[in-house]
Amino acid sequence: MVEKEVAMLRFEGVWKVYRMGRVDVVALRDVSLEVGEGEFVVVLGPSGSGKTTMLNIAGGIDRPTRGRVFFKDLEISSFDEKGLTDFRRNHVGFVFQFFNLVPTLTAKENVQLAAELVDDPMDVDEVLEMVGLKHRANHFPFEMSGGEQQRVAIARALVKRPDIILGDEPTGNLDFETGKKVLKVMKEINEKMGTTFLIVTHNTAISRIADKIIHFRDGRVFGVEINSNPIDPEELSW
Amino acid sequence: MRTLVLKNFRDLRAQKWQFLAVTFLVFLGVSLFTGLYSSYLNIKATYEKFYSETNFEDFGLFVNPAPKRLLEKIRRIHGVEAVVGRITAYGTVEVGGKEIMVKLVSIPRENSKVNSIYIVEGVYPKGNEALILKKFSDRYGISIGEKLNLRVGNRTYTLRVSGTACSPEYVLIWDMSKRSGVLFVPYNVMEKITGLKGKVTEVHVKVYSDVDEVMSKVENIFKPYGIKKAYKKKDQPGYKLLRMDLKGFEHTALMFPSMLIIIAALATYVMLSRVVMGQMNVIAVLRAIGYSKTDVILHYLTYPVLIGVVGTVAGIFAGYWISSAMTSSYVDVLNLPYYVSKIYPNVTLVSVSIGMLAPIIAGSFTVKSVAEVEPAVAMKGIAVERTIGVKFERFSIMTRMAIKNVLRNPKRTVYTVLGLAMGVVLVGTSLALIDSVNEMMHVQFDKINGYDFKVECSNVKGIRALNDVKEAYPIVETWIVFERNGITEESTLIGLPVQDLYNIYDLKGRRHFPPPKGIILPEYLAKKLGVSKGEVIKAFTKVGVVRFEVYDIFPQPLFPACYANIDQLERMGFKPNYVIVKGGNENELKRFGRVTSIKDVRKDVEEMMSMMNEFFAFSVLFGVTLASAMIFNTVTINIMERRREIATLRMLGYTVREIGESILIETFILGFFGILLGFPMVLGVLKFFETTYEGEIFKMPFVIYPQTYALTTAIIIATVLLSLLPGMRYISRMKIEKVTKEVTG
Repeated sequence: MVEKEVAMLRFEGVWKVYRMGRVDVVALRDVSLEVGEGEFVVVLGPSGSGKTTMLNIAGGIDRPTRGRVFFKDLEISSFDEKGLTDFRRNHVGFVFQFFNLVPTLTAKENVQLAAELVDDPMDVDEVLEMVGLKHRANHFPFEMSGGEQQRVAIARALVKRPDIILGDEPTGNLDFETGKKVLKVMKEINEKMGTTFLIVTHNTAISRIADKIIHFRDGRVFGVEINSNPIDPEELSW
Repeated sequence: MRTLVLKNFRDLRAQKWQFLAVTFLVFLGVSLFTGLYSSYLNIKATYEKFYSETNFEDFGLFVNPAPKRLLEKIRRIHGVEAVVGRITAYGTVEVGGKEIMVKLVSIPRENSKVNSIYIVEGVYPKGNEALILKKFSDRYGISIGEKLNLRVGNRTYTLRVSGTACSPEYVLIWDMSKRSGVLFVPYNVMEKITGLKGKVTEVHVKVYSDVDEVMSKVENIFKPYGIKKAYKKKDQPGYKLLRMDLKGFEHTALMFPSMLIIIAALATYVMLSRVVMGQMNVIAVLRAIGYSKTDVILHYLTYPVLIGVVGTVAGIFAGYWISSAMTSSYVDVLNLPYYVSKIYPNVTLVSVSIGMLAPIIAGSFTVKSVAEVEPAVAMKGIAVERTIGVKFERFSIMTRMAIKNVLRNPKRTVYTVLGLAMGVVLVGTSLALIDSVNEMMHVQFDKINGYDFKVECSNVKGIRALNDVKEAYPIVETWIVFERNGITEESTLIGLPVQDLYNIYDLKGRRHFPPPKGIILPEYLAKKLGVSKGEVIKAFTKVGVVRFEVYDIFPQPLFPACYANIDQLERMGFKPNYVIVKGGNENELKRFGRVTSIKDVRKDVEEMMSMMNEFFAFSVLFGVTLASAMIFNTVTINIMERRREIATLRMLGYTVREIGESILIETFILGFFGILLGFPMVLGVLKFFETTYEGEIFKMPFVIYPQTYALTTAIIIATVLLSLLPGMRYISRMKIEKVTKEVTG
């Protein structure tokens, strides 16, 4: 187990307002939160509560309207386009609900796509082995199951040796058993490699594997729980 | 970035037909531009080289027989570089059992320094020898050493062919060798043949200073003997027609390829926008995992760059091949002994620029706009969800899908419609040009020339007395030079009685009659002189200086001329010099003078037009190919873009036919607007051609026959239907499970 003291990600009074036609839609209202280094954090909330918006801002693919976001000592909310691209490239891994693999590339090539962005990536075959897909390396996405595709997506996120992996409903499109397998892979990476995980989901059951649970509703954080006894994903049921 | 390159290739392989179709468009545009424009430059360079090598005259005079010694006087005029005096006559030679008319042109003992003879084969003639125009020798297989039986008037002569030759005066854009030839005969022989000892009937001069000044001095020398015609280089018939033809060639070489390149750019935009929009999620992922905006732009720009490079390189190679073939066949008709065919760095540079830039610029608009989208927004797919909120409840769901698809991206729809309209322009314009040639022939030979023969004589009574002659009228046909505000323009003056054999028609097909007084001018001439109806204009004629009131001005089709009433001309001193005849026997008429058969003239003009018609037919084929490529692109990309939607529809139980109908409706909507927009554009292009093919020799009556509208529409619709076939085959063979899996991919 790695030391989990230093705040890796910090939101300070973050607001996000979208202009939809003539109406302003507030997605985040004065959100402040912290994610410690090496933590496995689950953000829980119903659909439309603003958790994906928060995740996008955390990953540098969206910007806050107001407030500040820090990654370690860096204020990423003040970064320009290039700064955000470098931040995503060197520090962040993404896992999406719909996997978002490039359909014309094989599993291995999808992982290579990310590996080529950094100077010291992990070995692509090794990463695929870690997610249990070495034997599927040369298969195209349409030749794989949903669970396998999501594990390729995790390998793609992991290969860059990111500081943090952000997951947007990573099991949302998977059946129960497959979902558990994916979470198990994530949890193992967190424990063995110390990679920080920030997962957003509406599935309450998943929160039991987290070190910290942040509750979201109506664009606000309305509670933070510390889970001193996170369970093994194998024990999950929903 | 190796993997991104790999993705490029995989994407290209997955959509190879669409990429190939767009590349083909670029290829067509570049090859046509390179081919046509370098052909134009080759032909220009060829005739410039030939005119320069053969010392083409700066001006010429046709005079009544005048002493040859006057040439010495001309040589002494300041500014004269070279002069040649000639005797010319007409006769016939017997070739292959046929009597063919020949023009006999005297040549000095040594090749002259003006209008020099270019010997293709053989030697310069001596004694009873003659050089024969190469085209004429080729046509009748007349070989060197062969003896020709020449008849001039009632006397016969034998001339030995010493060689074949070309002359700058006989560079003609149509081949007249079937009905007439030219023999270059030593001056002393011509003196004997014509009886014009020590005389000249033509003078050709090359100058090194001001042409007008020298010409005026030379005219003064020959005035006492009578000048039949004086012309400057620019008015030499062969040279004038060639320049006019080349001007049209240049316009065509620029216009058609430009249209193609615009179409290629539009097609690239449409194709790439569909490809890129379809990969919105992939772009979002690339951005999310750390690829920069520039990385994404460069990645997607690879496609237009590849399209540009492949299309341009192949197009340039094909273009120069086309150019060489086209130059060779064009020059063959021109009666030139050689042709210049080379690679033009400027043309290559322009080809590379337009071939590369058009797809890249078009592509970069799409790519840039997509790369600008924030990854979080792209992930949600907002940019591809745009629709216009129009309700079509009364239509079936499949029809509504087709309509919504058209409205989904108005900008792309507009570009597609524009591309289809360009296809209509190419097909429609080419067909309309064929219509125009037919219309011109119809007006000239079915309406204007109602007579069968034109006989060079004034004995109308004698001709009327012949058995088979139904009608015969005297006419005046002579040269006329107008002068107004320092501008001089030469034309033909025709004096007609009121009759029905030689009618005056304007370009719109309206009949006019010989004016009671004054003169009718062709529109081009009035424009050049800046004269309008009612004004009085001064003219030089064979009867001296005369003044005419301009009675009317209108555009005329083939052979525009100035028309006046024969009675008025006779009062001025002109004498009827031709008789137009309906019916009659050509051989009997020959007794009265030189006979021109309208049938033969029509055949000659048709031969001249046949080259133009071949070009137009090529354009039709080209237009159809292009329209097919454009429509094929639209249809197949449409199917590829919506393959998930189509797979879902098939999964729901829709048949291939039902889905096909929906795509057909969508394509027809686009096609309908393409056709609707295309026809006014066709009219615009024809208007442009109207200004291009306007001149002294002919003016095209640009028309579109109603059946051409129908035929163009039918061609476009047939192309649409054919283009649907590969797409429909894809749908019927689609692996539904594979495509639907991409939904989650």
